[in-house]
Amino acid sequence: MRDEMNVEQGFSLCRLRTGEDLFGIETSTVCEMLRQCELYAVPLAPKFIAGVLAYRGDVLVAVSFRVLLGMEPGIEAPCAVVLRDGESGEKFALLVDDLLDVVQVSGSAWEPNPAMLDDRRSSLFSGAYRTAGAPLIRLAPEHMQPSWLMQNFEREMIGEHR
Amino acid sequence: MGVRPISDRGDVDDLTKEFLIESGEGLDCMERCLNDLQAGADNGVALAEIFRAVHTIKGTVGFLGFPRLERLAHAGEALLARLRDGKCSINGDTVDLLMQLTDRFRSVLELIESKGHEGRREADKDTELLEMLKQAATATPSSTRQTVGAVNGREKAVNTVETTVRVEVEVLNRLMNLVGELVQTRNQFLKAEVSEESFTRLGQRLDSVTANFRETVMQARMQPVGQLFQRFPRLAREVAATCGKSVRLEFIGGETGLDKSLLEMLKDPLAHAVRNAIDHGIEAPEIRFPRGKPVEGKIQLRAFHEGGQIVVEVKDDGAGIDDEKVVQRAVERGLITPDRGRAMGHADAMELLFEPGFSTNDEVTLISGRGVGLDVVRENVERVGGTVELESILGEGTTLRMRVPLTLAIVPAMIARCGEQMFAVPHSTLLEMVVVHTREKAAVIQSIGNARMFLLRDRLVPLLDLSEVLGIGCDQANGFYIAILEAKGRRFGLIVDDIADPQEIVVKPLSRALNGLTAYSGATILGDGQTALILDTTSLARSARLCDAREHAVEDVKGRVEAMSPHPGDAARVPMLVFANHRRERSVVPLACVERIEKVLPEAIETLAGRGVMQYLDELVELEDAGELLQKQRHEGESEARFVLICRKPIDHGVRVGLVVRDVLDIAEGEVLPAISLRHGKAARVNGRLAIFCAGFEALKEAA
Repeated sequence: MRDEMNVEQGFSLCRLRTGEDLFGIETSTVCEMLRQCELYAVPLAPKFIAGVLAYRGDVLVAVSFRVLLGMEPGIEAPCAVVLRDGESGEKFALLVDDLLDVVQVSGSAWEPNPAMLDDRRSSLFSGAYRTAGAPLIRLAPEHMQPSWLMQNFEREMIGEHR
Repeated sequence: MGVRPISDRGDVDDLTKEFLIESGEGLDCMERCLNDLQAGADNGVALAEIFRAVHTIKGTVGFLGFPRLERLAHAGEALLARLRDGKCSINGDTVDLLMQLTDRFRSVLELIESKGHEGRREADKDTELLEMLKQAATATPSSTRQTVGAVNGREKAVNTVETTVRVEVEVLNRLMNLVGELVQTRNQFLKAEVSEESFTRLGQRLDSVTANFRETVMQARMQPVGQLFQRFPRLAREVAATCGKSVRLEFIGGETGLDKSLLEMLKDPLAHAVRNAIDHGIEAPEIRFPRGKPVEGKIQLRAFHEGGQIVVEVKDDGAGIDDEKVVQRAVERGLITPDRGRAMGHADAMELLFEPGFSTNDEVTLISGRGVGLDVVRENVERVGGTVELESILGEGTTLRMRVPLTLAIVPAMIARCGEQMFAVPHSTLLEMVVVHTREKAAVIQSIGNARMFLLRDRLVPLLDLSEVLGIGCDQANGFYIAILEAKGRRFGLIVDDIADPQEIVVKPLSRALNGLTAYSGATILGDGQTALILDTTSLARSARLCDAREHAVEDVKGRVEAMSPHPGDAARVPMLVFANHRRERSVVPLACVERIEKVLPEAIETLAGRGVMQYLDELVELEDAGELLQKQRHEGESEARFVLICRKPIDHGVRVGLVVRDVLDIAEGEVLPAISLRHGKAARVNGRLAIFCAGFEALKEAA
């Protein structure tokens, strides 16, 4: 489906960093960007849920992008991208190491996911944009949603474990 | 049945739309549970969820006029009931069959949504599937019993909550004014210097505006209970038609305001209650007439304020509940012993009706009769901090009374710390707090096997350590607190590191992604900005197997006694309670069997059917007074209190008895000795001295 994207179309992406890699998430899907989040752990929660955080009078569940990538869970006061879970209609926070800026990218610079990319990353990434430096990996926000992760990510982790 | 098919009504009405949404959610849940079953999850909980989903569909389709769904649900439920009761086993084929049933339900629901009917083609008759379900239900019982803890699995997910609320313009105007005042106060704060005199005044004003603001928002959330009542006339009419009865609904106190979220949560329990009242309560016209009652039965739905709570009653003028029949059914089902049944009063008999899977209805009907109901009603109401009572007068009628708090949005709670984290415990379940200093720990906390008990005013209360339950760190170097909680009538202690001042907390729902975490009922943002998770004490108790009273009590006692039994070749020691019996001999019972040590005055003992009984926790406990100590004492006019050990016997279905003893001597670890030449049973050695086992408590194996 993503291969059919109009290559001429440009995109506005929020740039963020986790580990050594740069990622981009479509601006229109982002509700808010938060720095220095104060996170509260939820004992017994699935590993990808780093905890909850207070956000405008609500309590949001926070998904650790580092855990989704198979990295060690992150830094003490991470940054968060507030997104909306399309299935449940709830907002949630995606925790990343750093928030950078907003960039415009050209559709023609987009490349699909490489065929040898592992299954987990293939579902999280939606291709990448060629840049002068490191590629800007485009995220698939629909696969960062807690409702999707509950059904797919845990199973995948169990599968890997076996 | 007198119900017009939906196609004749032209389009899908609101009730049907609601049914489609709820059924869709029920099927999602069913599918999840089936997947869990395939993955080897706990059969009991998953089967109970599936059963409930199918039962809900069955209960609704009858009066909506969907016979195809009704047939499918009935056949599915028959199979699930047998699986639940362990009469046939669950395997891959059964799961596949239930998956097929789920798919068929979905396709019929889709047809109803798109076309307004259940399908009219020959292929829509489901003959093959119905036959397969029937065959599976009559399959040979498995040697492995798959007993299910009936329907007491957690019911959290499927509850469609309406997301809109009707607010009076006047309330909105008041809110707008308050926002204006708030902005004004903020502006003044921004300009003011901390040192200024006006700063205190501004603080007071902010406090007043905030309080007003909160009150007005709460008012906006309040909706008249009448909104909820209006859902039932049609349901009542259709159910009555199905049962061949004539029923009139009457509403009182419809204007009583109740928090919107509570209103939604009461919807299902009330629907259950109305259905039950019609199906079980109201008699058929041919029975009512000779009894001098109007042919048309009356069900009264009434709401009123009482003691800071809202009471909602469902009262019928039907046949009432026959205590004897209830007790007889409980004895037949092995829930209680015949002796205990004989000693039961009205209130105890009514309590039996809340047992999972309990039904006095001989016939399984399309409306009810499989024993799914009152336990779920109670669980739903308790989940929102309420209580349920049942009152019945034989021949005159039955009243189901639900008491719920005014609001769920703001509740008083105790704030506890465990490790680095804060947790909120709602006051509705909290009985008291006890501080335990490190030096007292050994004296008040005793271990029985891997279970810890706390000695609270001579009563042993099971203990849970929050840090262990949640797998988090703790800091108890200088002692800790025990929150004494009550869930589903069972008392237990929860160990936490420290407590902070109680607060009125604003309850925030947790993300649906965390629905599987039954330990929490929500979250809150504390005054200092920290987030605290709100503990669901009922679930904590259930996870520790503290809740499901009777059957589990038997298993618990047996399990604990077995766990305490030394292995062959192992001279392990087990905790025992040593007492002086009527012959002044040293006698013992395993401490695991002792619930409480009571001091009882002779006048508290009553005689029923020639046996001594006493009241304990709203229950009648039969006394075992071998030496007739109490009787002698009464004859001799002595008024001194006697010790009674409230115990559960490892034999005789774990029945609760009161052992009358001369004196309580010691609680210590002892060694079980082989029954050698003792004519009167086993003996034990405690602190170097011999003691005889009390009859009926010798289930411990001897040390080698």
